[in-house]
Amino acid sequence: MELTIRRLSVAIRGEPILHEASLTVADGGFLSLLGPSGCGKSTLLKAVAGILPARSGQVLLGGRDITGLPAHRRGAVIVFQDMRLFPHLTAAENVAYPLALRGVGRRQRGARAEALLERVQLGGLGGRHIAALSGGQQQRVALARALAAQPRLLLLDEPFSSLDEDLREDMRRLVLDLHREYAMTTVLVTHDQQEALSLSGQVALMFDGRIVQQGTPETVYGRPVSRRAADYFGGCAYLRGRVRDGRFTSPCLSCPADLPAGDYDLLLRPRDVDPFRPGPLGLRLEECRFRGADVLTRWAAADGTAVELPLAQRPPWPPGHALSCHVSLDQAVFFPAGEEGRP
Amino acid sequence: MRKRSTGFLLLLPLAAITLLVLAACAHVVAQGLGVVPAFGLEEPTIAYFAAVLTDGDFLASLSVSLRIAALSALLSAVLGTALCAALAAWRRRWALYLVRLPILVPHAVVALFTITLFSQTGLLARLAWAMGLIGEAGDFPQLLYTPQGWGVVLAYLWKEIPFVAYFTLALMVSVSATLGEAAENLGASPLRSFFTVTLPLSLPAIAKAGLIIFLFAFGGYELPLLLGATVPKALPVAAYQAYLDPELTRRPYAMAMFSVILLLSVAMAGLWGLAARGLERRLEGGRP
Repeated sequence: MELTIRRLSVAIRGEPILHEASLTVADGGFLSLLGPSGCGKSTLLKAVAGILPARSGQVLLGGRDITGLPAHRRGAVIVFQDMRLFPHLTAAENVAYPLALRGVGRRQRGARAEALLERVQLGGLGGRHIAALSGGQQQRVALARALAAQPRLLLLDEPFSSLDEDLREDMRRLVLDLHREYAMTTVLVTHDQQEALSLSGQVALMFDGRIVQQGTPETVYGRPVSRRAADYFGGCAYLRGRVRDGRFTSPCLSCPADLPAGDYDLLLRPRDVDPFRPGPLGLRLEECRFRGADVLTRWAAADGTAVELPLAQRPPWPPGHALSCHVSLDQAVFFPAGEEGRP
Repeated sequence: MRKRSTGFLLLLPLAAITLLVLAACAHVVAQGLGVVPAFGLEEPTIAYFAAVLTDGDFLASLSVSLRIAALSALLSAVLGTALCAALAAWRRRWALYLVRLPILVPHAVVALFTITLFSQTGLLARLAWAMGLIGEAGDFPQLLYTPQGWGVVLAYLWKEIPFVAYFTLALMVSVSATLGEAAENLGASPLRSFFTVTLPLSLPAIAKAGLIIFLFAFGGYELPLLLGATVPKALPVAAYQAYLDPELTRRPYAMAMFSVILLLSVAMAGLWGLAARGLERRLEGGRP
């Protein structure tokens, strides 16, 4: 069901956490809510689920205003970071719990719970108590239990953060598969940039209780609204220059820019710079560091700006080597100078 | 090595106190077995225990004490849990202070205002009379000084319902804020979430509080003395009066009675402990 959040504000114990956050997730869509720890992502999720009261604003699910509904009537189910499985019940009983709430008969409940456990690759473990399951298995039970509730909206609150890296990848795949299978509107809260960009069709970026940008992963990464948004994804370098008469000029390079006159920083990301193709950007190689999967090379531009480029192999040049390399500027991003200190 | 010896040294005071308690208990049981060298009694015998355990008055006292203890523990546990749930759902600082108050009031004071409230000429009786519910003082139900021990139970309830609530509150709040919240999130009404998740998981604390109240009420002296019947007396009252008997050769009877209180309490605590462990294991998932 389509989720619309309109100017939602939430305070916890009088302290404002969420400031007029707005976002939309299409019916059956998958949105990642990305932001640093403590920025209010989980608060937003809990407010949508009705666990925290909204101070102002609206939550609409399938076009219906659910802002005033109690948590148990919203159909917005959270898979909690700490899982919150019921320790006095077995895995199957945990999954059957929401089925019992919906009035499914005892026998059908058992069969359905077993099928759901099967679906999350826990077939045959239904009789185990929660304490007898590993962290990854518990996470799967939590997912199966949420699915059993047939949510109108599935909310995942950093569900992978407590897992080891290889387990995390498995779980991401499972979540993606389940999302395709059930076509359930899903919101994933995460502070992992790669996770957000790779899993979902939409990314909403959140800082300090405010949604600063929402769009496709490509847009949010490629056309960041602010220097802080760009920096959050890492690997950014900035060339300081001046725009006059529709042209950006810096000591390193010059290019057309459709901007009012003034001082600007041009965003340079590793993918925009290719040292193996000749071009206008002068760089001097400073050092190379082997990292296993790649080699991180560090360069200095003509004005001293440091640029880091991960390369597949150690480049053929010695440190100190200077060259003029290609920069792709057809999607150049500029920020007004002086924004770096801004929140 | 050094750490271990430090821990041992720190435990010494506890060991000393425990030894004293055990010595006192052994002394009581020994005298109950008829070993009182001061009176020239040196041969151990179970005659005193046998006499006490077949004595009708003793058995009546035992039954009164068990009844008071069971009713106080059970009703406090049920009503205390309800109070705890109310406090967990509706947390106000002043309500917490109000709950702590009865726990601090001494038993003698509780007895005093139980009399002021519930006696046939007490405040409630007068209120009932003023409202025309009863014609005279004698119409008000006799709650105090009866063999059923309702007066004692009422006084214990006043003190122990808040105790159960206070004792259970921390656990219940934490269960309710995490797992109870998860249940509601899955579609359970607050009431259903309470009865299927929060309450079962709070049971260990409730059961522990119940045991404390049971043992306390079973061995308690002041309230049965002040509010209980003259015949049959509650066990501790009867035992203490036997102890005060000027005929010193009757001392072993009193000690046998105390021994029974002691042994029954230990046995019940043990049984309760086993049951509680079983419960906790079931709640937290028995490891295979």
